[in-house]
Amino acid sequence: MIKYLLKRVLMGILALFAVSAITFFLMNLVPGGPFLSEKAPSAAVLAKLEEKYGLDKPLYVQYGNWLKDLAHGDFGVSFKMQKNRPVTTIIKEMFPVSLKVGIYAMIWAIIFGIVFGCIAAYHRGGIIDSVLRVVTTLGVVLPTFVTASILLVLFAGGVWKILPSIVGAHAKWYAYILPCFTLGLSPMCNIARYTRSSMLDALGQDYIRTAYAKGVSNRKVIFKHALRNALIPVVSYIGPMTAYILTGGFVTETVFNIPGLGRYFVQSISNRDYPIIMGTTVFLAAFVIVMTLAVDILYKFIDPRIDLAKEDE
Amino acid sequence: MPKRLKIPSLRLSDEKVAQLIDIGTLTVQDFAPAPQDDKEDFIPKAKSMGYWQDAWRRLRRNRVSMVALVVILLIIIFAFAGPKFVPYKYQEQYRSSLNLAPMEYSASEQARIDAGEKVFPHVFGTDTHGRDIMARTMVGARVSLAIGVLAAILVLIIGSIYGAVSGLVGGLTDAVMMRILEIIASIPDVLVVLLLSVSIKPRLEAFVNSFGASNKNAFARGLSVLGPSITAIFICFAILYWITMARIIRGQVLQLKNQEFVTAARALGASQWRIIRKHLLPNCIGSMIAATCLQIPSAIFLESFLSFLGVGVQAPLTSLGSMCSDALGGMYTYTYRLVIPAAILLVLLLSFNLFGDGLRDALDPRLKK
Repeated sequence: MIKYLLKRVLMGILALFAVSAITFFLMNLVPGGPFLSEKAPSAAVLAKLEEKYGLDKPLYVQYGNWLKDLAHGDFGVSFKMQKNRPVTTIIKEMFPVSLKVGIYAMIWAIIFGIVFGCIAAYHRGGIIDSVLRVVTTLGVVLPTFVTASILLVLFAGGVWKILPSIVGAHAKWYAYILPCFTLGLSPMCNIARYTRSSMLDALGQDYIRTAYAKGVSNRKVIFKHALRNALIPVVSYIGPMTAYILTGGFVTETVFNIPGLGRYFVQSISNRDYPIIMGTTVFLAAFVIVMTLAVDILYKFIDPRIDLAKEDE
Repeated sequence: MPKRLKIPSLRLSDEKVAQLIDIGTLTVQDFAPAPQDDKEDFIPKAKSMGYWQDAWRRLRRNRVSMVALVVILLIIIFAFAGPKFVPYKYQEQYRSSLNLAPMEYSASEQARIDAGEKVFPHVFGTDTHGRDIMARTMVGARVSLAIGVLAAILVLIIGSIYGAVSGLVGGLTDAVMMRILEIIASIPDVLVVLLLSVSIKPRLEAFVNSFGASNKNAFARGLSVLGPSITAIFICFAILYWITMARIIRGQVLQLKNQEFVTAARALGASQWRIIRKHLLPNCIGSMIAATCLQIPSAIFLESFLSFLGVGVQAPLTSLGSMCSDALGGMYTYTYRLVIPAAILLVLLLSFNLFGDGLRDALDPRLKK
């Protein structure tokens, strides 16, 4: 167990290093330093500035310094969108908004995903099962921006105008319905599919036959006996789902004008504000890696049948 | 003449045997070797089938996959042959026909129709710049398809080489290669893709321009046709997306290389290269094709995602994703501009996924439960 934990944590740290290295060296691919604005400074001033910020040192020293700053929680300052504001402050300000939308989306995805998965398993082979299968397949392949636009056209203007299309800073609760639905749709369909298949696996087990044999009703077998065990594989999906919701957030927040980190990231891309792009990438990547790690470890605790020693194979 | 017939495989009692075969009527002829045509009767009449025929038969039985295949073919025809039949160019702006609804004619075109001329309709309408949306959709679908297929081939090459080396060499090499793969797998791909397509763009532009307008070599010309963003997408796929393929191939190779027929080939003195070519590759090819096919929609998806965020293909070239992105502004007034490319994109993604699933089941029936 401890060996496994150590291994996973080590892999996570290595992945973080890989992300930071990719980010750093890609950033240095970009021509033009941070001091090249409309008023180009003289060569002497430029040299002075570069000396001050350590840009005259070789790249690997710069990378070391950058890592050191990173370890102190310093992502540098924005040089275009919010001039000279530290990226950390911007992230602190924007991330909670994204987190809120993401958590709402996750909650609805998990609840409805499990319910639909159970319904499909309950009616296995029937019409409801087939319909749900088509719908969930469609939901999985639907790109977020297509979902968002369809919903906007349907509910925010084109057909019915019942929900706001823009979620501002002080939006009412119902303004979050469309973005959360959009964000959660694909994970919801995935969860429904996972639940259905792991439910059918669970239904083939001996203890289910025992339950039927002692006269427990079909409904009770599915929702009580099978569901508890069928949910375990679903937990392992939460890791990838975090990553999905995060990247889905770029589109959703842009389309619905949610003042979160995802929209800000997209804006910083079109504005070429490199410190923000970098800082956000490293921050979000770290978030996803830590979440995946946490979920994987949690998964091993939930299901003691999983042999950790065998995981090394 | 034997008194008792012994049929060991059936383990019947003597009475049963006596019931089944009337011993009294047996003659010597019954024990003679069977003539040739009797023997041939035992061989099943069905034609023997090769692997590909068998896979094709299985695929044909899968109705969903066949429908998906037909849809994919239709979209390919639409994207590649379509522009031949539409008289409008995707990048050309027809000043007199701005913002037309589907099948609507502009005033000047209406006048020409009234004069008895035949005018090709703008089937999907035109956009704010007067560009024909159908022509643009065709080119967009073509770009999306081309990116999907090329990226999938790239993934196939890198992933299968990595996976095959890892599986064949084994030992420490395998362990190290798999750890590297795990690290890459835990990197959130979309973030890196976005970062890469942003930061690589100026470099590539500078590289292409460094050759000057006249003396570009083939590589630089190719890059300038693709545009920096599409090149960045390919680089991303080459760096990050081959892991699934590598895992599949490694698993297959590990499973195959210890099987008896490979051991037998090795014992007969076959070289490593011959074993790869004659024994491992033919057994892997099915899952390789299926995995490649499933990679296509993921590439199309990624491209449309990037184009939607504005870092995908560059104007005047278009793709389904960037058409959706362009249409977002006038979404409520000109809904069809959004719906048409979005619907084609959706159908394309769905059919590739369904077809890929069917193909995997057909080519690798062992996987199917």
